[in-house]
Amino acid sequence: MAAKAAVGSAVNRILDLLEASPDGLSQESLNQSLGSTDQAGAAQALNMLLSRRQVQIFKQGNTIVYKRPPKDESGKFKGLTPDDMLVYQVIQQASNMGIWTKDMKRTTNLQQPQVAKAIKNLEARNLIKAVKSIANKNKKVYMLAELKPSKELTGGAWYTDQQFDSEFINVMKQQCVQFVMKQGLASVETIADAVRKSGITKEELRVKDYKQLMDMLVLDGEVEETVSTGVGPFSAFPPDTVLYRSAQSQLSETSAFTNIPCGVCPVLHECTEDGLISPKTCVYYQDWLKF
Amino acid sequence: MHLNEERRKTMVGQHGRRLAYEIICNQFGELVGKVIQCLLFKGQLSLPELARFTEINITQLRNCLLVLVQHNCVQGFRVEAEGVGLNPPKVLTSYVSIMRNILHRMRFPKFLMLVREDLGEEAEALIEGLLEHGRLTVEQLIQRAAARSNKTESEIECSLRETFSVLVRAHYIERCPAPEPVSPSRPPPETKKSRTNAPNRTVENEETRILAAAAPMEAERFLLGLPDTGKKVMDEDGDMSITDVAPGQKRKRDALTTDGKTKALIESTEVLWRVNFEEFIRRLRHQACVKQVRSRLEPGAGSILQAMLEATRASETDVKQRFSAPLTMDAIMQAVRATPDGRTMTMERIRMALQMMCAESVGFVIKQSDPVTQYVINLEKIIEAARKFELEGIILQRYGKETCRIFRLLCMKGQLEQKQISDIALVALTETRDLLYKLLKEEYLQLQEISKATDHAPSKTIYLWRVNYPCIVEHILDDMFRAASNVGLRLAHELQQEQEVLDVLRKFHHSKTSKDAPAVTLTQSQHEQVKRIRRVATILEASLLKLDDNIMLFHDF
Ligand code: SF4
Repeated sequence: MAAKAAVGSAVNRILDLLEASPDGLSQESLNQSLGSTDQAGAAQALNMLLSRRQVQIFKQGNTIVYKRPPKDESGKFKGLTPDDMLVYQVIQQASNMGIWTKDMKRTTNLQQPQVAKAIKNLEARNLIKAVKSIANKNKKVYMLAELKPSKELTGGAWYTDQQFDSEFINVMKQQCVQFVMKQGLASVETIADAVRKSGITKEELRVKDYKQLMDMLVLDGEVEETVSTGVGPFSAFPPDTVLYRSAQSQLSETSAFTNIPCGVCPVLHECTEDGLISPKTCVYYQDWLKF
Repeated sequence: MHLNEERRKTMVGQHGRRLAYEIICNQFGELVGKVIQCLLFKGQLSLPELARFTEINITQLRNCLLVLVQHNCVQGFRVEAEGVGLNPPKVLTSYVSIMRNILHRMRFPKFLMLVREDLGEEAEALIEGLLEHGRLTVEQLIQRAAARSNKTESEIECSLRETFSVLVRAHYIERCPAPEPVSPSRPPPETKKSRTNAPNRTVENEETRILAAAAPMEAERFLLGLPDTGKKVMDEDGDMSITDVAPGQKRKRDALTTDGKTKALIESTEVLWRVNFEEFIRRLRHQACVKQVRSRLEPGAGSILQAMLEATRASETDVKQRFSAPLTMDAIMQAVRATPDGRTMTMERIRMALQMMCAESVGFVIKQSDPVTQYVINLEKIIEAARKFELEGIILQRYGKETCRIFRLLCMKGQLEQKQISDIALVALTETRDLLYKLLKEEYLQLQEISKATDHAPSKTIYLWRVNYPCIVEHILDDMFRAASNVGLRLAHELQQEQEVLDVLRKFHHSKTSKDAPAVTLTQSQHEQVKRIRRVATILEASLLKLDDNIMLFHDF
């Protein structure tokens, strides 16, 4: 164990360094700045600061970053029990993916009632919030109140308030089809560009999302895929680019079968010559043959 | 699963037979209907068995069977039953229904239109006569035509015989099968002789075997019995000597039968002829292929395909022919140039269209390069594409856009998990689940469980969805049969409802044509009623014909 004095000076040093860089410092730059300070002492100091919440820890990509908490931060936690704090930290680590109670229990080694109580306390102070996952509507996960839930949780571009937004999808679909019709040939990038520029939505859609729309349009038989050869009509595109054009043969909008009432009848299989449901008494035919 | 399978087998297919029964009832009455119902649902039966099941007395029963045989809806055949004890073997006559031919009866308007477009009105009239009477001799046909045109037989005979032989040469008309062939013994064990166009021959059932036994030999089938197809002068009484039937071609059974009619094969005047439904179906099938190519690829390709089909038609042996005979580029050029649409097509144009039809993603035509470059039409593939197109339309109309999208997705990808389907098809997860289970219930989809753990824990199990294509086709076809039945029943019902006013109408027409009938007038409301029922009948009849196009696509092509 490092000498108390050494730890004390390390604490001060670290606090100074972090005060000087409000965006935080990575482990590496912190180590560098600490220079000669002995490693064990510095580690102990950091641990102490973290447990006192005088320093916060964040993940940025793969690197760990240390930061001073905002000035009023420490007040937020006044009166919370160690259990509450433990739960808080676990939730914080889960960042915008959130964490559900079962996993909290496992990582904190607390019992269900204690976890529940902690969650209640933290929620009451607006420190955390519950978010429903679209993958499983009954599964609530918790994350820090100020975080924006990740796309995996919310379902991505096609969900609005955790609700599948088919209205929005339809609008976007139309926009894409129109563009393809106008252009004759288009790659997913040109489509994405054009729709973005049209300003039809403020939603940030990725090229991936547009690709999803186009795949769906192919399935609906509205557009078809083709691959650029780089020459002739394709000269505007590099070879092997996947391109879209309006489909030569769209899905059949009618069928002789579905044009008669029986073809779309919900009780076709219950209908018999002399039964309760019968062609003789059929109301669908009545409507159809009313002129 | 097994039970389900069983249930499906017995349920599906039933409605085609029901429809056949209703067609016979409508056209020949309840009594004949009863007989065909028995044969359709119980399979082949002997006369005593039929008498027992139908409870119709023997004389009437024989008459019913005569009608059905005359109209090619039933085929009789003899079976030798082994003698009991010292008794000699007995020969029993049994009957089998020909459902296919019964269903063809709702297509007669299509057949007539086809032959009129191809060969003109006189040909149409001859076919009409045969359709109306089932089987006729040439003389009977001439008599019928003479009676209709108010001309003498000798006035029209020459031209009629000419048209008749054109029809026979085009295979629209054929000789009738033997009335009661001896049921062939068991089919010989499957030989490895490859018959590319008859993949299902091994599963031949009793019915088709009997029909095959009764059918005249290919050589006889379209044999006119007129030396040089009627172009030579006939002897004074209009009879032609038959010299081109080699003695060896006459079958034993002809000598055995005592029935006067079966001597027909020997004397040309008494040869019974009938419409060859197969040829009509073949041509309608070709039309469907051309239509498909026309709309899916481009009109020019459709015309080229049409010319190719025409050029290879004669070599088709099966109605459900899978591949056409191969054609060289020269032969295709020639065929195309001979058509009105193709007269101006350049070699380059034809080559491009062929290339399009040969493309891997299309596959309507196959290019062979051994030993020389030749092209083969993949009829089966074109029909399959047409079916899929129709099926997608039906699913779209019946279940909506999302379901159709999911169906197409699964067709394309083979099998997927629920979550994947939801993601790709962009349908909310819960909705996806509902749609999938609905389709599962209808047996359109299959759900496969793949468990990674022995305890089948749900968390370690993957559920894969896939399309049950043969099952879908079977169900949709059965539903179409149901629908056709219903349209027919509704039409009968509507007509029955208006019986009264239709009777008045009949009297009204009668009073106009014959002087001594009492004058009849229709009230304003009766006029309205007649107008309505006419419209109803037109709509229902037209819908039935259209629906039958779909039925043919899934059943006959
Ligand atoms: S007759 Fe009427 S009730 Fe019966 S299947 Fe047709 S539409 Fe449905």
